[in-house]
Amino acid sequence: MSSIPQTGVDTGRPLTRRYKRMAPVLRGLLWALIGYMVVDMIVAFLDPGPTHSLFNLVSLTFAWVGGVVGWTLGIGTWESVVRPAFGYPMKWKETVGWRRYFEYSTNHKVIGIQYMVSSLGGFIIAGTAAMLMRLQLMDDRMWFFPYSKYYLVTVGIHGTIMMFSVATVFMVGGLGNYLIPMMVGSNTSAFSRLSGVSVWFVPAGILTVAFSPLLGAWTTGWRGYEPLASQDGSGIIYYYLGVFILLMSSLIVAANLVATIVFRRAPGLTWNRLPMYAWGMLAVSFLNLIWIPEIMMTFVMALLDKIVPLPMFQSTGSPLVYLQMFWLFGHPEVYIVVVPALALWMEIIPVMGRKTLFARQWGVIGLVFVMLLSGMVWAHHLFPTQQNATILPFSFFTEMISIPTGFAFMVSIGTMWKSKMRLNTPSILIMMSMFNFLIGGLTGVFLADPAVNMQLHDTFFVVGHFHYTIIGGMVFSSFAAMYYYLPKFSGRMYNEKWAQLGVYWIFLAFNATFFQFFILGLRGMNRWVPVYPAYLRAQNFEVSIFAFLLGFGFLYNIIYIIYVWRRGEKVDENPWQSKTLEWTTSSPPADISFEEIPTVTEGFYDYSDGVSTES
Amino acid sequence: MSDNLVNQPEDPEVEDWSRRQFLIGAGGALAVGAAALAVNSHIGRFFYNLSMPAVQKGLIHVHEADFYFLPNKMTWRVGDRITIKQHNESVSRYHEMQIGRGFDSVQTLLGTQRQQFKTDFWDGVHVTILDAHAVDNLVTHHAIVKCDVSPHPWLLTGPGLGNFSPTLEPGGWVMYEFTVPDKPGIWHYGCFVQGYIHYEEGMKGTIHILPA
Repeated sequence: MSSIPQTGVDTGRPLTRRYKRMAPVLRGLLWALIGYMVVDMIVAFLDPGPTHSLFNLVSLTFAWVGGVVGWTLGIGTWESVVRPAFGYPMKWKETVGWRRYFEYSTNHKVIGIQYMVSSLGGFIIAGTAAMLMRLQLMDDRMWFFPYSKYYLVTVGIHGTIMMFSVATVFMVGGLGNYLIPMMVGSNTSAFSRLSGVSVWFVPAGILTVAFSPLLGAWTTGWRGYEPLASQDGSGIIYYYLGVFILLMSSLIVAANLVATIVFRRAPGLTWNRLPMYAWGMLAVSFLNLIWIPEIMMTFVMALLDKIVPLPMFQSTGSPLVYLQMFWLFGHPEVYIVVVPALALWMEIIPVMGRKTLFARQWGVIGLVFVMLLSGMVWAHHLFPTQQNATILPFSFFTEMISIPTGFAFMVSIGTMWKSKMRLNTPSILIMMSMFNFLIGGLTGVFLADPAVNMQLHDTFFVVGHFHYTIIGGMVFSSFAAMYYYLPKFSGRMYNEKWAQLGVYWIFLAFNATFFQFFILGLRGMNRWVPVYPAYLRAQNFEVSIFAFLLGFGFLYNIIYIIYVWRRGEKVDENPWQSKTLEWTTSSPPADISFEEIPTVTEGFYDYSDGVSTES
Repeated sequence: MSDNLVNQPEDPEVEDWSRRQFLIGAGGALAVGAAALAVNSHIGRFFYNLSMPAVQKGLIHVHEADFYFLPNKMTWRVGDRITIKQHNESVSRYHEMQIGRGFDSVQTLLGTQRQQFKTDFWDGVHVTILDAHAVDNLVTHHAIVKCDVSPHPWLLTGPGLGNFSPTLEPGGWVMYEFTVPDKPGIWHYGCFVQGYIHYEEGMKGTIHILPA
């Protein structure tokens, strides 16, 4: 942009200001639009079909690729990655100030925050979808949505965006990218340029899924079930593509984190001394590396089923194969979500308890065995389609996986035992997360019992169960991490009173909402229906009120965290007196975290030296 | 931002890129997207109908999408000359447009299945087809059809094929002209493709025909 006239209040600035270039996000959107239209027209022109329609399934699929390429180049990779790769001089240099968060960057801390911001955007979009669902369910007839498909596509958008851009991204792409290099004593992550590109796939994926209903509503939820998907509107192809690019982003994060942890550890940082959160990230990244390619290929096959078309998952093929392939990834996905939360408990509790981490090895073994067993339980999502012979082993392994999960509880409770816990916002949130996840876990063991499962399948009991594990476990832990690391990210400290108000608010609203899901389920409330028998109306109405309170509670915490980040009180560099390496840097950390790479001489969780709990 | 770092741009009057442009541009793009998503909600319909004239005549565009009509409400007057241009905006589904009242139903194992309207609005109406692209079939039934487009292998004039209904392939269109017959009252239009799913999921509308 050459010049933009300045209007309004006199700020003492010159009347015209000059800008070097267009805002990268806008250039990305513009280039995406151009890429989308150009590729669409080329493919539509080459289309051998008789209609030569400007928009058809094939042209829209290729157009989407053009759009994503345009977006990724426009955001800054054209100058910083593509041109240099072809031998042109590198003109790009890292931006400073807040603008760096809205364009391509190679700094792992900037990328971490970009992941968190994208993830937060997804949380708000998908959370709004949840509020619309609860609005519809306040009455037993269609009143808010005009047709059932619109309700179902709202459920689908809620689940898809929450799972693939929030639950699998916030603690791994966000906190992982920011913290892991610092935790292992490195100044960069292993693949910093690749990571700088992959973060921009997240908004692309979120927008693809969010706008997919423009092509026609899909009713399959976050799972894209066949043969249901074949009857739906064509928006389902943008479900496949949007999730594909979100998963691509998570796959790159996984490769980056594994390589960083394996190859970038500071001298003396042996596997025995590796921080718990880094162990969690390692386990979760292996899960990602194993299972994400599997589900990406499944989505490609399902997409080809629609646009070629092929009969793989149709009536001449086998729709059940799709179900199996989805949940083969789908259940490890649940642990991709929860393992970082378990690791975070073990990271924060010794610091807040001023007590040496109890049974650290068992904590690590727990994380690793959860990772291994999670690939052996998938069919418990499909009990009604199975024979007894296949139900029983899956039921067995599902109940077994509660044992290594229990190790995380054992380590956390063992560390808290007789410690002088500082009952501040992060530690309260961690204990709330443990409480919620315990309920989620126990109801999971209950559901793994085939006889119970057959009764409760597709009821709100199941919805209650997995919201307890995911919101209760992962989202509460993420808020714990945000309050715990706020001084690190911003150099500023929240106010205990205002923060605890928000924390108790979401805890009470969450339990009031989702505990009633169990009761609703037992009373016969089905999932996937916008209308239901009249006798459930009163309870649904009142659950919706609590759900809205929960929504506002999350909003309060988010706004408060952003406020503290910018305006909070300044605080010491290590207010929690933590011993892990990320706290040995300045807060907020400079571009180069460690002027000199530290040498590690002992583990990080030994608080037996009686360091004062008072600061 | 707390982590504003040391380096300031060399020339304080030249900024990297405009914050205002960024906020207005990104906000505007999101607002347009949200409005597009709301087109077929109750709110979107309300605003769409506000822009409709009280009584329509001349060329009327009817857009068919998955699964709705835009507009889904029309008002005609008996004796007016009307040209409908029916567009199928879907990327993968065939869509038709029938106008009528009541339902012809059959009993199936899964309950009553509605097949088409019982009374066909087009009975005895003179219709001229002016233009057509990617029409799958156009059943004339009891309408008196003159076709300016040729060849027209898709024009099905035989008996027993159901009501007057132009069925379009994805991306197709058809344009036909007629004089509103003396059949005042409320009429319905809809698409019964895919075993009534389209109709049930909202592919329907109403025409209010005023007496001359």
